[in-house]
Amino acid sequence: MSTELPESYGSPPDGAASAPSRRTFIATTTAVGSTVMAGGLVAGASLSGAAEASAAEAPPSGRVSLTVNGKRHATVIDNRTSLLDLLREHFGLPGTKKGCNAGACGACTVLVDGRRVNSCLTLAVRLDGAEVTTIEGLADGDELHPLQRAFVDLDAFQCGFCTPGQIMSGVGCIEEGHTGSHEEIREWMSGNICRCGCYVKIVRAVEQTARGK
Amino acid sequence: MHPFSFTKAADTRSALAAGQRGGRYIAGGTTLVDLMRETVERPETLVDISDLPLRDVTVTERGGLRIGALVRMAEAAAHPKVRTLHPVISQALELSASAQLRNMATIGGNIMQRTRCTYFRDVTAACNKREPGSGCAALEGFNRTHAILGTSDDCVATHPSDVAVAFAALEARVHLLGPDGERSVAFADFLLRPGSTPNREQALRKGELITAVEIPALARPLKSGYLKVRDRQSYEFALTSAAVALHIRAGVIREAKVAAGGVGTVPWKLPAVERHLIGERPSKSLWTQAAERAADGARPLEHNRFKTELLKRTVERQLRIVGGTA
Amino acid sequence: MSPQPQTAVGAPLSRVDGRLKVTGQAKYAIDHDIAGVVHAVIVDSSIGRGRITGIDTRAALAQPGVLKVLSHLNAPVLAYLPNPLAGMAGERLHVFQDDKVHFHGQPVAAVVATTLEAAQHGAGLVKVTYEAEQPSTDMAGAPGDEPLKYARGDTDKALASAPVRMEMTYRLPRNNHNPMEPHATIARWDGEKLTVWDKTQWVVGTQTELATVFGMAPESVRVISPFVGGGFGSGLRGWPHVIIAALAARDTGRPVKLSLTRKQMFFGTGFRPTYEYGVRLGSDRRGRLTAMTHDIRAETSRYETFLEYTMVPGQMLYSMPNVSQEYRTVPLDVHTPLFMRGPGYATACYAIESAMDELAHKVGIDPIELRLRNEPEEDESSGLPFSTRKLRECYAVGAREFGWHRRNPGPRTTRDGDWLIGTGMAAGVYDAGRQDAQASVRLDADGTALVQSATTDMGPGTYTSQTQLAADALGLRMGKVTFRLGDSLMPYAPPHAGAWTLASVGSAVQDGCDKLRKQAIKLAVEDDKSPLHGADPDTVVVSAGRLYVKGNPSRGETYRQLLTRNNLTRLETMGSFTRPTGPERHSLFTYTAVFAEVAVDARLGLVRVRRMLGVYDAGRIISPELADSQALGGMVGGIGQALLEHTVIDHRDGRIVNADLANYLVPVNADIPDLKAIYLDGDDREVDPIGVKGLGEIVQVGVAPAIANAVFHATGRRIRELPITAEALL
Repeated sequence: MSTELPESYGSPPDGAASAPSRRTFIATTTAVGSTVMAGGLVAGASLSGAAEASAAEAPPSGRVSLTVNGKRHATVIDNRTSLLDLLREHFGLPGTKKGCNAGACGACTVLVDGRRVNSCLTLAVRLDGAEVTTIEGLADGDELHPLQRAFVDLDAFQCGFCTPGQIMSGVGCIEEGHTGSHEEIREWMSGNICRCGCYVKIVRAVEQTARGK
Repeated sequence: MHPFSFTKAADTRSALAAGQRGGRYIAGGTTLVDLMRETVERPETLVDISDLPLRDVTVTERGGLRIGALVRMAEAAAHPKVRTLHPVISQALELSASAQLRNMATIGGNIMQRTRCTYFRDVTAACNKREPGSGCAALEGFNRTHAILGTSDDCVATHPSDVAVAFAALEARVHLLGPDGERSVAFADFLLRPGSTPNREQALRKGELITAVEIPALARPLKSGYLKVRDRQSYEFALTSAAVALHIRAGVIREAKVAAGGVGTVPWKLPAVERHLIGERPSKSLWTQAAERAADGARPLEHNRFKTELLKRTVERQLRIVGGTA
Repeated sequence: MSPQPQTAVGAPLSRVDGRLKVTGQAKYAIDHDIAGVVHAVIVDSSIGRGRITGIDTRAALAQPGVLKVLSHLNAPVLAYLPNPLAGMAGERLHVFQDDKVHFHGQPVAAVVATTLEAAQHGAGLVKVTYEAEQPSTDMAGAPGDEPLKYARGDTDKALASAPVRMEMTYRLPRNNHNPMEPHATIARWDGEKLTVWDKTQWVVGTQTELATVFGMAPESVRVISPFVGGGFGSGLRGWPHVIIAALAARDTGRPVKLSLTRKQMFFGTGFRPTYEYGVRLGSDRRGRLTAMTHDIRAETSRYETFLEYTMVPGQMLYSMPNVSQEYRTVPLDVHTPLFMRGPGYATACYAIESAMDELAHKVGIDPIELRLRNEPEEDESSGLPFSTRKLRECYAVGAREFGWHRRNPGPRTTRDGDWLIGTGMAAGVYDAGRQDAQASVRLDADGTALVQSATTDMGPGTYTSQTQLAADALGLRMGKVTFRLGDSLMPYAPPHAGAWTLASVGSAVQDGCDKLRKQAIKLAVEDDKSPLHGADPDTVVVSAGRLYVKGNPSRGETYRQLLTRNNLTRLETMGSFTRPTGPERHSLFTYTAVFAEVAVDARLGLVRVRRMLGVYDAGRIISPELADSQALGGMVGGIGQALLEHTVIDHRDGRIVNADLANYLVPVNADIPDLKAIYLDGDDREVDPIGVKGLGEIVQVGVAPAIANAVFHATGRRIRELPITAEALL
C-alpha cells in the first residue's frame, strides 16, 4: 500500500469548483416550482422556497404538464429537479421515498405511463404529458388496493419506509405478469431493497394479490 | 447537479443539429442523471431523444436482427424475436439492473453507460477517465471489481454492461447517424480500450447518434445463453460473466461466439476460446481446455486476482450449459 | 398476572399503523411540511486527517437561491457542554468549531439555499483547501488501548494440559446500518425555542444533545419523531448533521431541512466496528471445554472510545472453569462506531460459535451434542441462576423442525448438481435488558383511551404492541386505544434499543393502564348509583369498555356510563417502570438456536442460503405476527453480515470506497429463501412485570456463524473472515 498520497488526492480536481456555473435564463420564467393549474396560479401549501430563487436569476427551467394520481398539473420546474423531488418538494406528495437517490434501492418507485420506474433518476422536465401514479394515488378512496391490503394482512413491512416503493413495484410486477413462482417474484422484486428484511412476506403479498386478480 | 438547459428533439434532424451544437443526448437517463448528480457529468445542454423513431426490433433482409437504439431494455428482453433468435441477449438484459431500471434504460444508452469504478464516481478522487492526467486511484486502491483485461497504466475500470457482452460475442454492428450521414461500426471497434486516453470511450464523432445495434445473420441452429457471477443473486454488476453462442451440426461445433464481462475495460471477446472450440465435438474436457484460454493476457490487480480463475470457470460453466456435457 | 382477559395480547394482529404505511401517509422526519423551509446540504472533507487551510465560498454564494455557507470560519462558538447521556469516553466531534479534520467525510461546511437543487449544487461549488496528513485507518498492526480484562481460573495452565487445543482468529469487517431512510432533520427556531423533526431512536437523547451543544435548557428543545424508517442502532446519537440543521436554522432565521445522502450515511452516522477476535480453547476428548481465551480488537475513533458488550458471551454461554479475555480498542482516524443490531453479542457469537463448530469437527461430535455437553447450570460469570434459559429446548425444537438428524456429519458429502449442500447451526445470546420508562394514560368519557410515551417505533411495531397491552389492561377494544410516541414532550422513555422497549415501555404502559382501570373500578364500587356499588374491586374486570363482576357479567356498566354519571370528562394516570435497583438476583438473557442450509457452487465461489430456521427463547410474545417479522428480518440481516456486507476503506486517505447501495451490498429479495421462526412459550417475570425478554437484537445473533458453519459442512473449507465471498472459496 502506498503511504504517499497520489497527486491530486485530497483536493478536488480543477473544474469541480472553479467557474461559477453558467447563467442561462429563460426569460419567461417568473415562478419556479409553483404549481399552475387550469390557467390559474395555485400557491403551494407552504411558502415555496423555490419561488424566492426566481427573483433575479433563475436556473434553467422548463414547463411541463403532467397528471399525477389523476390530477393535472402544469408547472415550471428547475431542469435539475427529479420526478421524486417534484412529488416530494413541490406537489406535497412525500409518500414516495428517497432511499439512495441513485437508482440502487427502489424506494422511489412510481408508475409512469403504467410502467414502474425509479423516480429519482427521472428528470421531471422530461415528463410533459406523462401520467404518474404514486402510492398516494393507489387506493380507491378508502378502499385499499388489493396489494396494499395484502401488505397489511401479511405484515409485509416493518419500518414502512421502503413500502411505498415495494407496493408500486409489486403493482408493476403483477401487471407485467412476473408472478409465476416465488422464485420469479423474488427476482422481479429485487429492485426494491428492504433493510428490515421483509422479503418473505413481500413475496407472499405479491403472490396472493396476483392470484386474486 | 450543475444547471443545464434542456430541449426535446422532435425529429432526428433537430436532434443532430442540437448534438452538433454540443448538446448531450439523453435517452433512459439512468446513467447520465446519476452521474450528473455526482457532478461527474456536467452537460450544458441535454437533448431528449426519446421521441425519435428508433424503437423497432426488426429482422433484416439479410437475416440479421436489428434492435433500435431507443428500445428499452425490458422491451428488448421480452421481444419474441430476441428471445427466439438470441436468448443470450434476453438473458443478459434480464440479469441486468432491476425491473424498474430496465423499464427506463435503452439499448443505445446501455452500451454507452459508463464505468461503475467508485473512484470515477467520486469527484474528489484521482481518475484519468474523468480528469485526464489526474492519475488512477484504482490502480493501487480498492480494485476488487476492476478489470484484468484490456487495462492500461492509466485506467483499469470495467465496462459494466451485460448486454454489450452478448453483442460483442455475436459480433454486432453499431449503426450511427451523424451530420455526414449513416455509418456502422463493428462492436469490437465501437467501445475503446483505455490506453492512454481513458476519457475516450466510444468511437463516436461529435453529435453522432446511435440508431440501432444489429446482430448479423448467424448459422442456425444457434444455442446461446448468458451466465453472470456476482455476490448477490440480483441487482448487482458482474464479477465475471460469459456470453456463449454455439452452432453445432452433426455433433461438431461449427461456429462459436464467446465473450466475457466484468473482467475487461470493454466487453471481452475471446477468440482463442472460440478457435479452440471450432471443429471439435462437445465434451467436458473440451469446455475445460477451451476455457483455459479465457484469461490469456490477464493482468490482475491486488484485490481482483481471483477473477483470473473465476473467469475461466465462468466460461467453462457456460460452455457446458449451452453446449451440453455430451 | 393481570386479572384482565388477554384478548389483544398474543393475538396475531396486523399493525395499527399499517394503513398509514401502505398509503404513504406515515410521516418520516423529512416528510413533515414546515412552512417556509429552506434546504441545507453538507460539504464533506475530502482528506482523512489534517486541517482546513481555506474555504472559498464565492462560487456557491453566487448561485441563485444560495443563502449561506456555514463553516468554522463563520459559525458561532457553541457551548458543547458535557452530555450526561453520552456514555462514551472521550469528547464528541464538534461541528464547525475549528479547522481540524479527524476523518474522511467529516462535515467541513454546509450550504443553505431556498431550493434543494441550489443547495446541492452550491455544496459542490464550495472549494475547500487542506493541509493533509497521512491518516491511519487500518486496524491491522495499529496499536491498541489498554485492554479491558476478565479472567477466571487459570487458562494458561488449563490450556497447557488440555488434550484438545485449538487456536483460531476470526475477522469481521465494518458494517453500516444503512436503514432505508437516510438520516434527516428539520429544525425550526421559535424565538429561543428549538423544534426538530428528526430521525432518531431516542427523542430524549437528541433533545439532550441539542440542549448541551447549544447550552440551552432541555425544556427549550422539542424533538419529534413519529415514524423512523429503520435504524438498527444508527439513530442512537444526535449526529453532527442534527446540530448543523439547528445551526443553519438559527443563522438564517428559517426552518431548515437537511438530509444526509446515502453516501454521507457511511461517515455521518456510526457503524459496527471492524473486529479481530482470537480464540484459544482447550477441551477434553469428549468435547468438554476446560478453557477459552478471547483476544479481541476493535476499531474506534481517536476522539471517542466505543465499547460494546462483546465480552459477555465468552463468560457465560458455555460452562468452563477457565476463561480469560482482553478487549482492546484501536484508535484510528475514523469516526466513532455505534451499536448495530445484536451489538457485541453478534460479533462474539460469530467467533465463539464458529470455534465450537471447529471443535465439534475436531473431536467428532455432533455440534448440538457438543453444546449440550457444555451447557452451564448457572451463569458462571456471576454465579447467579438463570431466570429462564431454554437453550436446550431451542436445540431440540430446532433439530426436530429443521430435520437435523438427517444430516450426514461429514463435510463435503452432499451434492446437488454443481452445488455442494451443507447445514450448520449456532447458538446465540443477548442481554434481556430493561430501563426506566413512563407512560401517560388518559381515558375519555367517550370510552376511548390515549396512551403516550416518548419512545420510538423504527419497525418492530411499538405502536401495535403497546396498543395491545393497553387495550387488555384497560379492557378496551384495540380500536378504542390510541398509542402515541416520538415526542420529547411525552413521558420519558429510554433509547429504542437493546431490545428493551417492550420490556420497559410496555411495563410502564401496563402499570399506567392497571392504575387507571383500578381507579375506575374504585369509582364504581364506591358510587351508590353504580350497579357495581359495594362489589369487591378485586372481582371486577373490564372488557370491551364495560366493567363487571367476574362470573356475573350482567352486573356492570360501561366506562362511558360511569364517567358521564360522575360528570368526569376523563380519568388520567401516569404509569412507570423502574428498573430494580441493587444487584440482580438472576442472570437475564434471551437465547436462540439458528439453523441454516446453504448451497455452495465451489467452482464459482457462490454461496446461496437455501433455508433457515431460528428458534428463540425470548419470553412472552405480545405480537406473534410482528415478532415473526422481526425474526425473519434478523435472519436477513445476518445473511447480509455473513455473505455480503463489508465497508471498505482506502487506507491511503481514509476514503470509504463503497459508500452507496450498489457497492455496499445488502440482501435483495432474490437472496432470501423461505425462512422460519419459532418462539418457545415463555414468560419471564424476573425480567419485567409483563414477562417479555426482548427480541430485536437476539434475532441477528447466531445467524452469521450458522451460515459459516454450513459453508464448512458443504465444502470442508473453514472461512474465518466475513463476509464469505468468491475469492475465499475459489
